Amino acid sequence: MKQPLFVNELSRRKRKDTLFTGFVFLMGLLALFPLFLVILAVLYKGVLGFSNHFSVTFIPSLVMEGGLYQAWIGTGFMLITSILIAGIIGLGTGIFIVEYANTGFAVFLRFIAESLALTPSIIIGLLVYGLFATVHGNFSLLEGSIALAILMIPAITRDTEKIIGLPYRHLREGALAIGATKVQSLFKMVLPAAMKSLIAAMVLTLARAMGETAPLLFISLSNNPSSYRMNDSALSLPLQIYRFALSPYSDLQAKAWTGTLTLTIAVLLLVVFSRWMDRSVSRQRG
Amino acid sequence: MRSIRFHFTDRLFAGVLFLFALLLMMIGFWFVIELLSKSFLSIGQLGVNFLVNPLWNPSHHVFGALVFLYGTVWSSIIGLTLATVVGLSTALLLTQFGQTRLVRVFSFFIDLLASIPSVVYGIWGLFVLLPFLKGTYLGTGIFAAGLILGIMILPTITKITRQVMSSVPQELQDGALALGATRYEKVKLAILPYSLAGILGAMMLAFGRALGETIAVTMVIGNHPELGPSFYAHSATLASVIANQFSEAKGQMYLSSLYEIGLLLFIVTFIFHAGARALIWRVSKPMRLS
Repeated sequence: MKQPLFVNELSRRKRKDTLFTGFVFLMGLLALFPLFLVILAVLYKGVLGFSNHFSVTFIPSLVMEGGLYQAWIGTGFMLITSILIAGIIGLGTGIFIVEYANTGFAVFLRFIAESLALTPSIIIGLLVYGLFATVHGNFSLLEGSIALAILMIPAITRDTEKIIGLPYRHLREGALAIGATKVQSLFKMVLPAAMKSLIAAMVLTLARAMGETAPLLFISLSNNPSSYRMNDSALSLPLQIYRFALSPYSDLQAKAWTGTLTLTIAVLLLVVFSRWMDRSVSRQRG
Repeated sequence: MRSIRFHFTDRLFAGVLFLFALLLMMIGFWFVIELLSKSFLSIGQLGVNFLVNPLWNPSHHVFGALVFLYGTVWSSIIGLTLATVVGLSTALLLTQFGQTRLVRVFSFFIDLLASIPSVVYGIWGLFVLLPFLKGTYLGTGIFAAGLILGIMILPTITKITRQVMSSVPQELQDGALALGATRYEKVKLAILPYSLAGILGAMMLAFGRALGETIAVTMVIGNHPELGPSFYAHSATLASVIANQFSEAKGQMYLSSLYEIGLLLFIVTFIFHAGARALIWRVSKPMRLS
């Protein structure tokens, strides 16, 4: 009498468990599905765009012969300038939080960095536009670099503080215990040890910034797409993709896809590089 | 003598770094002050009406943000729902069933998913997802935007819930198994209750992120600022209206109300991030939020 009940109960529980396992695996596959869809589409359409580029098309458009290489130059320039600015300021602020700020101030600075890092980037676009529109109406690579630097500073600050804060506490204390100054402990012990992680974090920030469109949406404006000169307007690759994709010309849309392909490859390469750097560190640490 | 010199360099170094920290603070204050001052005109003239007026018609000087709040909230809720179901399950898969290699490969792919730029999701949504959705009964608009948002915030939810779940004490898990629990029962009785706060935190963080996502949403949502009857109608969000109209905006009032929309976005995302921070920090302190 009782045994069938028990067996029923057990098989019911087991069935539930099997269902749960199946569901979890299914959802796991589903999580990867969009990544493959996006990458497939980018590869397919991007390569298609490449081959179209060499064929002669007679679609009326303003930038028939313009490729995206100026946009790449603009993006490259802005990334290098902004990582230089944001690297120094972000690293410095992160170090300040760890080494010199008292607890209350450190919490406050950390709070600001974290909040700014999570602020929607379109707001940076609004504010940077306001900042430069009052000074002068001319937008170029410099303004774009500053917009990207503002985007990167909070992220680098937060990363620096997380990387050299707790994990290297023992190293710092050891250095101070044998009579080193804070500067010595920092430059001789902590920074060399944390160098790879810091670089990995910065490369990741750079990869994020590379694809950012929103902060540049209202500056580095070149509403006239036929103007490709470096000195009078800045072009940015993601921004150009955005404009081309929304344009009604299939020629420009094909160019947008090709740009997307190159952008995606570049971003993914940076991410892979960053992970490789970070992993070699964690392997060293054991 | 020597020690004095060293302390001098230390002080000097601290001073320089303090200037950098000051700059970060100034950027923070500048955000708030600039947004407030630029939207002052709109706040003063429209007051609360700005938030409840469902009409947005700049050419007739009618400014109401309700339609954008509607589009933002619903598209984000759709995205959050999708991402939570899939992301939570993926985190369970990784913590409960994952061998080391599977976990490593999976988290690598999730990282890639997280790093794909917004504009790439946008162009994919515009030329691949929208034509596909038009072929089905689903349609475009808020739903399409929600779907894209779901994909974009999936890595956030997966990563954080995984970290939270792996901080569940081993004794608790072993205890559940020792009492004869199946894997499902272990998850239900030990894992989920313990990591509930962290999961909620991850959801809030992802929601805040979805609210502020701009480019991808702007490209698929249709940018039609009208309170639609269905999720498949074209709509607009707080971020997408700024992206779409700010460059062409003429007139003090128009600009000011767009800045007020920016302020609104800033406040709303800030609230969600602050909540997320509080919840996640309660579970495990040294965790990266993004």
